[in-house]
Amino acid sequence: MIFVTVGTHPDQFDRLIRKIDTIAPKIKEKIVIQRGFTKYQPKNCEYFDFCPNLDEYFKKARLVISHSATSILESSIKYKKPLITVPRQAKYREHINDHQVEFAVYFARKTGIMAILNVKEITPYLLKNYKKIPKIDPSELGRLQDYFKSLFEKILRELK
Amino acid sequence: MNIAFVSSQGGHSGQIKIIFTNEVIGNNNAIFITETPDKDRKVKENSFNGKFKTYFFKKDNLGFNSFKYLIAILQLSKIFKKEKINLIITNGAQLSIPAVIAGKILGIKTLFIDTVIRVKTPNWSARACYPFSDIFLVQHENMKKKYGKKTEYHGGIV
Repeated sequence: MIFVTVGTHPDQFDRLIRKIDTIAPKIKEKIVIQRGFTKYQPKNCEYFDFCPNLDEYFKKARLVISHSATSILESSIKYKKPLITVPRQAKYREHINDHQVEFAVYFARKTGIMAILNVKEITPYLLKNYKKIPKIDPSELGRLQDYFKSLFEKILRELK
Repeated sequence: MNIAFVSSQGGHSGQIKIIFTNEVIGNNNAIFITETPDKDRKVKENSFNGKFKTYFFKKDNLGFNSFKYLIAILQLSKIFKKEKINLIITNGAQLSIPAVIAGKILGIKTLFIDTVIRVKTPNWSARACYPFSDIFLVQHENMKKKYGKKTEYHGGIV
């Protein structure tokens, strides 16, 4: 199953969902779309707007296609599924600014997955053969967590 | 020690959950203050990681309305006093501004941690919090120069 998720941001993401829906007939695999505030109605895929918990979809997915929000961190740390990220862009009125583009490019370079800015690059061939799982280096997060552990100890000593 | 996490919904709360695992929090007590689109403000037990008392603020565009900020500062101060908070940790967005101001007024240590999403450009809630926070962290080495001298970098989520 291919799971497409665009989160709860109050702007539409027609560009991505329309593209997926257009190429869906050429892909035999089942596609499920969480479309959020997108107005476009998919004709060739299963879809829903929101769900309090997406765990089940992530677990069942063979490939995840997601907008470039923090949720991609949670899903890549937790589920370790192949991931393609497509950032929302201000020029298409998908977000208020281009911070998702900034983050998508950074995240892709850092973890070895693909960030797609132009939806023309999304092809049936790509989706059928895509296998890149984000590789997150846990030492960065570990360092930050160690900093907080020692900070808490320091403040505790000061309080006593 | 009593820690208050102040973080708006979605990605902001998500990052707090990734960084502050049970192991990191250890024996400290923590409460979680967040925003909800719901109209009535509620206090809920067991919301953050199923472990901490959570306060909900109405999701509201504070914008540049100083009156709304003042109300938020008073409401947050009340919670901080009641819960005997020793450390405020916040990572945005808007709610973090009244939170660090309330902390400053009450003499509680405040820590702001910038979002991991910002790789190159500073964001305005972080800028607004900078003068009021005792410790100011960024999650990317090159972001150190973007806010001011006291900015620290000790690693990040990715």
